[in-house]
Amino acid sequence: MKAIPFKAGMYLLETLTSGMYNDPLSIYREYIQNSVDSIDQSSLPTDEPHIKIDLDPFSKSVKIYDNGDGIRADSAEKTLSSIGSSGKLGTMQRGFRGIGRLGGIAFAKKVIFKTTTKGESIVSTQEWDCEGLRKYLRSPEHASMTIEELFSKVSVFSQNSVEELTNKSFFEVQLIDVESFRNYIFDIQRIKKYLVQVAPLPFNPDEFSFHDKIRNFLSENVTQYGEYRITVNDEQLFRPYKDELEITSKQRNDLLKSVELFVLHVGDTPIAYGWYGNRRDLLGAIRKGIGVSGLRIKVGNLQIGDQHLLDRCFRENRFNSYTIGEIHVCDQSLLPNSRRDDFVDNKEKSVLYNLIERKIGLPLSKEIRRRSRIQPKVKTEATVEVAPNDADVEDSNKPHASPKSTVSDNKAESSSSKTITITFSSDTIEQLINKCSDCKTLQQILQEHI
Amino acid sequence: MPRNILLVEPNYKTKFPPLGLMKISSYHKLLGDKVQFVKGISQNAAYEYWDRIYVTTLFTYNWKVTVDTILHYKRLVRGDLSRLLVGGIMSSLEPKALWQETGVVPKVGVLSYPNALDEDNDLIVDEMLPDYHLFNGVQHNYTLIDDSYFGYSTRGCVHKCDFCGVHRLEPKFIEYQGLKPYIEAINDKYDEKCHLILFDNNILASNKFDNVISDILDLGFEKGAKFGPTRKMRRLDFNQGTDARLMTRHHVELLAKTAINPLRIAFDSIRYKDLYIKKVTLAADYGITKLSNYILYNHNDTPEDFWERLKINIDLNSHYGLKIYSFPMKYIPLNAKDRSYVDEKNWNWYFTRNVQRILNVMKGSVMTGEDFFFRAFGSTPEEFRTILHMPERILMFRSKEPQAEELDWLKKFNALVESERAELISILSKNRSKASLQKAYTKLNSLKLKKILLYYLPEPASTPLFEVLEGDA
Repeated sequence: MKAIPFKAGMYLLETLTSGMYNDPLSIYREYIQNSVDSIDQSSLPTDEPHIKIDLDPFSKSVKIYDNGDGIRADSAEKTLSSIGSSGKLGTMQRGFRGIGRLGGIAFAKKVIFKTTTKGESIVSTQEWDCEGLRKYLRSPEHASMTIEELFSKVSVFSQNSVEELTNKSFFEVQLIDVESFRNYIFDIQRIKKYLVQVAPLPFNPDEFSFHDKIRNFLSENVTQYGEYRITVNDEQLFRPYKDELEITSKQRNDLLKSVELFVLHVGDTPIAYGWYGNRRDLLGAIRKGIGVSGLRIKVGNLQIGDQHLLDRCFRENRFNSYTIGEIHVCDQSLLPNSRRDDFVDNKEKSVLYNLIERKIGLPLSKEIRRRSRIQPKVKTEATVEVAPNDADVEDSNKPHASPKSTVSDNKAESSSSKTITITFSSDTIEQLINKCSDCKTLQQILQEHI
Repeated sequence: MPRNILLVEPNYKTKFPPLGLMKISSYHKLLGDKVQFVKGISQNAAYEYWDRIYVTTLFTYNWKVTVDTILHYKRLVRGDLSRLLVGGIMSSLEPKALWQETGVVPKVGVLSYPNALDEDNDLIVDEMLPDYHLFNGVQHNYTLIDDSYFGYSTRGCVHKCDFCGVHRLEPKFIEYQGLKPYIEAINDKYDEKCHLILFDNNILASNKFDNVISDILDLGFEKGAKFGPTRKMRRLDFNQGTDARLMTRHHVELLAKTAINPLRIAFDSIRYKDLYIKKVTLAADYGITKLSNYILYNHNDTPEDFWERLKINIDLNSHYGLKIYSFPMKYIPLNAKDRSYVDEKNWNWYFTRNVQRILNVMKGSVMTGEDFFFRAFGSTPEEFRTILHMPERILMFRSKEPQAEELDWLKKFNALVESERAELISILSKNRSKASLQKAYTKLNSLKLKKILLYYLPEPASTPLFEVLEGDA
């Protein structure tokens, strides 16, 4: 039988560029992912690893720079000209498909990759004419072009010698004449908010007391876990976690009392390590804008999906937004899909989700439900009407009242029926219910009011 | 399809209407779009779909209110920055800082080129007539809008002074911009206006000055011109002032033929004393009697020379029968994000605060007559310096003759040596709230300073304590 020659048409390139990422902000994540892989590989770690993102909306340019290993001059052309073949799979690196670097092509008129490695003075440059690329893709007379033909028409590779750079290594991406739908790509506020949630950043030691505990736990157990110095226009970014939590309702802010560390096992094999926070009040959902709500999944400390990915692991979707925490997956068979918005569908994926539901999602949902049964009644003030001579309620409350509670006698003298206003903290109520479970009056009140 | 356009001016205080937005309004109306103006954050605008929202900006020291307004409307377009346009003076002076704080990339400079707002037409926004109907039905009323033309006969400036943003906002000096067709077009489209306010940055630098004046005269702004059935006196105002250094006899001769009122001459530094006096005298020679004078302070000057500049105007008034209104203006750096800047070489916070207090009593301008001036600012530079130390409640409520409390304070103040005065000012400048001043008072050891500080504390708390101290002394 005669073999039919295989042909890869040029539209494949469109799928890999504009077709890949529906959110232009993803390209920042893709370049960061390549940068941290390059930093991790670094065999000569003399300088502090650093990823620099510089935005200049006035000249419409973006630069992403890392001082990782870079690419050697003799292999640069081959590496930069390969699409969808990366050699990273199974090397414990985050990216592995060799397509992430094409992300910028959809949003710029020109993309330039520049790299060099230590001990060489040669800088390799690949320049993409993205506008030209888009013209070819739109023109019917070129419709039969192969991906190789198109590639050679729109990209130029060159090398030149820069002596001063002999002791430097870097990889730099320059996006020139950048434009995007809704101008998101230069919304520096939005970019920072996105990256602090998604990028592999350290915790902010000044804002988050549990940073040491969690970091030690994760770095001891998760091989791919890493924290990197990433700056956006010279401002260093940190993961957004803080001890204090803003919540959606207008009540006071909540506090994290402690964090719980956990391991998810399949048989004897750990597949993920994580933590979640214990909230003091657990009153209501955490405000979305601050980027901490929801249990989040990370691979190599890079987030998969958004804060809603694990919603379905909770009894009700909204309970996830009451939760704060991370799950760092370390099992090699759990592969992020190419958009990194979920894992590739396989058996391991469903095992993971079921495990999260059983071990984390449901216990947390139960706690949220339990506390919300108590709270709505006490969130402002509990007013209890008692007969003038019946001092039972007041008496039975007093011995257990914590110093936080205030008991005030409203119209003690004038009124025939006495109104006592009691403001409780939720802790007090909980204690009261636990310790006085045999008090009849309390049970009666609980039945009537809660 | 007609677009729905919202124009926003943040809720800071302004005297003049936002000319840029007025032109953008005309631009959109010409294209058939629907335009609405709001001042500040408007809840009414929240449930309408806006194809585009424009937010103008003005002084950098209104930073916070401006940023908050931009962030509010950014939420309204759901973060779609292609529908939110920010521009104006602050945007042009501090584009990077504004972008970093809001995420919105502002428009920089004047929209004096085609395709500044849309690709599909060649209209130039800066050449549009301002929309005089934009504020109809809007609560915030710009009082000048009904009876004044606003415009330019030149653009830019020939100088590049460090304290001024003009060379950055309008880098090219345009010596002549046809005023006549512009005003006539406003007359055709709207009503005729009584006054003519021109925002030229340096009119006297123009080589086409003669043409500008001849246009102005043709437009009916000759000396003594009256307007409408009420025969109201017309006024021509080069609002940004004229440059004394460039002013020639020829300039004055021409200006004197117009309805100029007031003639604004800057007196920013005592270095220009002789020059300034010479030019004012020249104006007086040609019968220009109503002048106005921006007096910059808190910038490479001293309180004493500031007083002297004010006094020079008082003297010129009485000598030549002029009416020169002085408008002291506190210098604030171009990139300052609030108004708190103090030129620490010769000023301090308390002094600048007290200048402001004196001006508040007079609504910003300095009276033209001698008696009142001497009482308000002191009859010598030394007296002025003393007044700058005064406690607010004495300063603000001085009557024609000093009252007992003022005399008491004065006695105690005069007893202080130089170092004690400096300490008093340092305490007052550091403790700007009554509460922290009260605290500073408690900590203070010197009885002499304590006694005088009582005048600066809130009255009810201080009175009994004051009597006790008096008794002890």
